Amino acid sequence: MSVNKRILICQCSERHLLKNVDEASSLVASDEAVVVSDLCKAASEKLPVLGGVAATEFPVVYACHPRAVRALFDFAGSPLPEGAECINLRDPETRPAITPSNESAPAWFPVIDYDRCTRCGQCFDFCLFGVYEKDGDGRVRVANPQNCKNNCPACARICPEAAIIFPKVGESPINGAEISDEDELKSNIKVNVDEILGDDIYAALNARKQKRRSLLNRKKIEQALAERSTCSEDHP
Amino acid sequence: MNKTRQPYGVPAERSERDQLQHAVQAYAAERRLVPPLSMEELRDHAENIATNPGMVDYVMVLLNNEVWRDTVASIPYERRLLLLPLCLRNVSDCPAELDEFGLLCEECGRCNIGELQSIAEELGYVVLVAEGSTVVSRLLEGGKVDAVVGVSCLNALEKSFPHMADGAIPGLAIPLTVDGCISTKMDMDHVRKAIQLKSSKPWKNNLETRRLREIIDGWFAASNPWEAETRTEQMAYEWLLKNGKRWRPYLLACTYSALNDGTTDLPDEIRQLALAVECFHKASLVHDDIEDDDDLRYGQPTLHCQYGIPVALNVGDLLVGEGYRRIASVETRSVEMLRMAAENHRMLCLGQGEELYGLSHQTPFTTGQIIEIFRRKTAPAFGVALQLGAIAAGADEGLLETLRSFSESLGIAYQIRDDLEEYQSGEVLDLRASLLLALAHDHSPVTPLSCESPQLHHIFDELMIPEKAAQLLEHYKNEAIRALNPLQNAFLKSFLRRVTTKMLSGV
Repeated sequence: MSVNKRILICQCSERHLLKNVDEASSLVASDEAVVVSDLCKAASEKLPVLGGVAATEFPVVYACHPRAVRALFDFAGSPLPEGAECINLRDPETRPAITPSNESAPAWFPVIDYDRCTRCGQCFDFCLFGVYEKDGDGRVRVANPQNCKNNCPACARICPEAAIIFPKVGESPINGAEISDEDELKSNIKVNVDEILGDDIYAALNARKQKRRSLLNRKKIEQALAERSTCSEDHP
Repeated sequence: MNKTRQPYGVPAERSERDQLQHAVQAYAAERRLVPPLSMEELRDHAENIATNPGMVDYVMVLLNNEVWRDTVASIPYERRLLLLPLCLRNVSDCPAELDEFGLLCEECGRCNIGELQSIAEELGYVVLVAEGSTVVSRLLEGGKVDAVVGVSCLNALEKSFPHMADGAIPGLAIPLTVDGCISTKMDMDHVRKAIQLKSSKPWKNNLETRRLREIIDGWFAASNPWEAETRTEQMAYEWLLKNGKRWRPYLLACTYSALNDGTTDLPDEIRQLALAVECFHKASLVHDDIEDDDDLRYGQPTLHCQYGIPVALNVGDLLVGEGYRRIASVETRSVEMLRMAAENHRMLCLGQGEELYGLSHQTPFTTGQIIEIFRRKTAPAFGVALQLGAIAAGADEGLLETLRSFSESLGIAYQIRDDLEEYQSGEVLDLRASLLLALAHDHSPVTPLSCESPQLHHIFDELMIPEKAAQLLEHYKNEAIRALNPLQNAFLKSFLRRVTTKMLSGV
């Protein structure tokens, strides 16, 4: 058993009793944690993976009540050592505070498509955490990827050229997907905020509030229509 | 990857946060701190309050809130902006869309944003749930926002503070209690309280600048009875009314108003003084244009181009006399006003004289000489207007001294900005009296004197002259802001802080 395989996370996929499981899973890379879909099931089948976890000196188990967890490991024939830490995800207040270590920090950071980058430097100005640095000739580079905040692709959203890529992000083209329609891209990209705001910020933001509300109304109507049609299908 | 994390500078425990809050309140009340406080002032005070050096930034935020609290409370809800950070939302199940400003929150209840947005909008606020600081910075620049209530991490607050300070924008900031960019936390009751804050007092520390501007424009209307009986008087008044900026009368009237609780009821003596400072200014322009042999002013022929040098000289002299006559017409403290105006008039001529003498001898100026010329030439321009307004409002010597040192630094900064802008625009041909050339010459005595020399740009770049000039500009700007520290009148302090930004923007 290698030392870094010391974390076990139960997803409780049968009952969904645990809070923040996804968050816990996202905080560790897959090669240092064992994620089981259901600890009860794993224990009932006496899966060897439990023995692997229990064999390390300081295992950490993200699952439900600690007494239950220890009993399950006992049942599987692989009792947890004294130094084991059981984190109770049944308690909604428990945040999966996995201390980022060398191995566990998520690999989340931007990369720059230099074919598109115009060196405008907006990302450099925008980032609060010093991920970017500027070379003498104004070329921006990703100097401190470890400073990037997990799941934050904000700098990519403000890039006027869609040159910043976060490979793990959901939305295109920030995820690096091919940009098929340049015109559409331009119209979607953040326009000059000053222009939209004009001289009266209050008027501009109030107008935006109206837009937001009508958008919400439209969404609600669409939802209602969808529900009505689903119900009609159920009861023809 | 190696995450090296600074500990987040907000106390983790609510009790500790409340304790600091009380310490800050007591401190601000005891010292009678007056807004706006500069970053430097905030830091000095915060270092006195914070027991743990890691908490200084947090205490700065609390202190800034403390000095602005009453002002924010006096501002109508409809004129306040609520800023919330996007990171408060639940990333995984937030259904809302984003537009170019930020989140279009649907108030679905999965996070706290919706509740706060709804409370605030109910009261009349405009609300923005923004991502990062770019949009927020744009909003705060340019003095278009009257008051801000904002939730943010310390990092982002640090980025937006300079904009708040430049505009002397009243604001309350509530730092997130947990850092990060996802699933952050805040003290909800603090935020609710900040949003709902309201007093019955009239809007504090805000001059009715638009109204004051209208009054001044009324004083300079061509339709007023100017009693110009002679041809010379007609030329003088016509010249006096040209170009509607009237920046000096505006400074004078605003200073008077600030020292009288923001009144827009300006007595006739303020009108006389406002006309006087504009007379001095326009007189100096007539004479400058002759000295510099300029053909155009305000896009039209200069006075001496129109009527010849002798006539123009005489019209300028008439305007000088007219200015002193109007000051003398004021009933109280007019001798003091006249003495102050005359001393500044002398100073202006000495500065101008140094420059003209240097130019006629083709001797390159040193940086020290140029700064001295700036000090003498430009400080009087602002200083006289501010001091006349202040004397008319009954100011004591301490306040006048503050205004003098403020206008001196501001005047120098303004000239540096002007030189930088002229060089960067590439329009100016004669850099002889420019700070940039003096800086270059200090470093490399072979610097050619003409701007047409192709080597000049190269030398400037190599010696990093524009950067050095920008540093000096920053220095004098900070000196001007520092000069405002002793001011006890928040109207005046806020106004002059905004004036500083306005005059020095654009480079």
